[in-house]
Amino acid sequence: MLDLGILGVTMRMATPILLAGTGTLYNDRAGVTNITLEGSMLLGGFFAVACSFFTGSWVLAALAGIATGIIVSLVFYFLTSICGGDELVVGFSMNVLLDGLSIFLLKQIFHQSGSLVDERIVGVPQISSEVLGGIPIIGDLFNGQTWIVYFTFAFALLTWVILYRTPFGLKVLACGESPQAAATVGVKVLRIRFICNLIGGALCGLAGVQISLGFLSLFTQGMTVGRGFIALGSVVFSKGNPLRLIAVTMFFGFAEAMSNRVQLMQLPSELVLMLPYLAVVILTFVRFDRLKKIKGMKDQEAC
Amino acid sequence: MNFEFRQNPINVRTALAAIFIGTLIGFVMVTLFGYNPVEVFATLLKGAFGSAKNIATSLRWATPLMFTGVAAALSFRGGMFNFGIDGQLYFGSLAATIVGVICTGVPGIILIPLMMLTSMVCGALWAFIPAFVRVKLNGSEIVPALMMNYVAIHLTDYIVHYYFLASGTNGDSLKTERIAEQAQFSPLASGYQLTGAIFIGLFVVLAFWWLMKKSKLGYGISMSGMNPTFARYGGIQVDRMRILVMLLSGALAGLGGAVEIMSMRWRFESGFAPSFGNDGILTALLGSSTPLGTLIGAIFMGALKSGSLAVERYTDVSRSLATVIQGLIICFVSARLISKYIGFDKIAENLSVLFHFNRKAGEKDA
Repeated sequence: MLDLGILGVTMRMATPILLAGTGTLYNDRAGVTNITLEGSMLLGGFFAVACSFFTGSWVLAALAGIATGIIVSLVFYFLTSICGGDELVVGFSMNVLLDGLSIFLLKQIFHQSGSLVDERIVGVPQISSEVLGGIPIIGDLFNGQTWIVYFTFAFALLTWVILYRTPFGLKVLACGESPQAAATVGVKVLRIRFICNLIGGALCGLAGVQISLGFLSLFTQGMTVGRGFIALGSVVFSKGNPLRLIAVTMFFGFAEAMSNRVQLMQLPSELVLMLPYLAVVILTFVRFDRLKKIKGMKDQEAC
Repeated sequence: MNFEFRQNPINVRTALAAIFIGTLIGFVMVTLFGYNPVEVFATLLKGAFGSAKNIATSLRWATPLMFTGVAAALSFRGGMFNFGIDGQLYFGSLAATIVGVICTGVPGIILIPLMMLTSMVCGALWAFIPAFVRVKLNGSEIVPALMMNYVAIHLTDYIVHYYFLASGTNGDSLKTERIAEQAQFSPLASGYQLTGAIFIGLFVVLAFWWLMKKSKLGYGISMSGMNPTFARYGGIQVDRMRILVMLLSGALAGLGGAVEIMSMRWRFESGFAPSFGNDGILTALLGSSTPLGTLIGAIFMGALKSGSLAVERYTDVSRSLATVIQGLIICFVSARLISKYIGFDKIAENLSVLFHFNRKAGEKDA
């Protein structure tokens, strides 16, 4: 059960969560509470599949997914920042709206209810090389993945550099910490938040592409099954640090990979499907700051 | 991330304008796909209010929303965002169903209250975990509540599959046996979908009105929701209020599920209430979390649901048109500047701030 093959599945499962999480991290650090991840991923996945169906090109499909995510984030920004809507309310109702919209479009465009499976849908190809596969552990982790996986982990690491080592990143942090102070020294708060919103939307759309075209090349209604909310949770747990975000999402990816793996055994599938969500609930009870405090106290005692 | 939630009061004009714009966009979409919007709209109206039977169906769909709507409204008034209504509803209704299936010999006058009580206790238990995270661990209640929905859906499936599966089904459809006959509500008139459940729903709305307007507890709840600091200075134990509000909210959600089972389904089925929780939250948001607003919102959402079922039956348009319209309406209710239709100069000003000046950026956050 615990062979090294699970590492690859973990990476594959962690990718959409990490991707959407990284996008939301920008929003979070800039002081925007955007919870439309779930709907954004769902609709991004839908339009990616639709585009792949009509054009037969996975590049265009990925672009369609990203464009969908950007449009969703533009609508969110328009309704909240420009029209004075409450971020939580608009985010929640947009999730409902986008879920309904994906089902509506599935019915009206493809005359299908439930799911769309067709041979014309081209998935994102998986990259495998013998050289990479020959390296132990690293090969298990990275061989045979879609390019979205490589991009995701590279971008998550890059996000750390962007946030903490570039002028733009420091402006983002300032907007989140103290918008008034940032505005006083001439940071264009609304514009920074706007850019962060766009980044978030694009990454959520791409996460949808990985879910619909990276695993199986099909679309099912509600196929994100709460991964957007798991990503939201991991941003909360990681307290806005990209490196911690990678660790948290890898943990959730591992939980999903385990639930895939355990399904093959004779365990009740309902309990197994519960695993990733239960992992999130349990993690809310772990107080990382308190752990650190206890450790600090022990150090003091040692002195 | 800022998950603090305080509901802004909405006036009637904003709500009506939002309903108008939302419905309009919905029918523009229908037109884009080549359907006759007038025909679809007429079908929707006829399905919702066309005959006495259709009105009864609308009220039938409004009934569960009265429970979940009040559950959501109560949590909003107490300053909590109960995202976990679906999970509380599932867990509560399965518990009630189990009682109803096992206690076949108990007379209905005892069994029905017993089922309701069980569902309320179990719903409240399910709501306790997010409340605990918020109050004791100083975290956000939103993420655990959302996750508990999925946990509840899979956990109830598991319990039904392995312990209470109806005989004759081999796990292909997950449903329990029917509950005892004396606990099954019958329709008010034969051929109509409406049962006595609506009176329980109306009673819940009335009780909500009494709680918020007439009782000391309700004052404490709305104070700790509106301004926690002020409430603390006034001697209200805000943390206790928050836990209480979530427990009550979860209990109502569970009760809604149990009543739905007793009145319509008579058995627990996997996925029997796919959107009652979300619709309840939308209902409360549309009704500005007031008792009367929630009641009207529930009837409106019920009519929309019943109408969309008719639309799916008679035309080729998907019933999720209703979901799209609901989502749009709440977006516009919240984005008040659009719905006020006098706010265009303000919208233009906000846009110009984004693209040209930085003058108001700081003020906006203040």
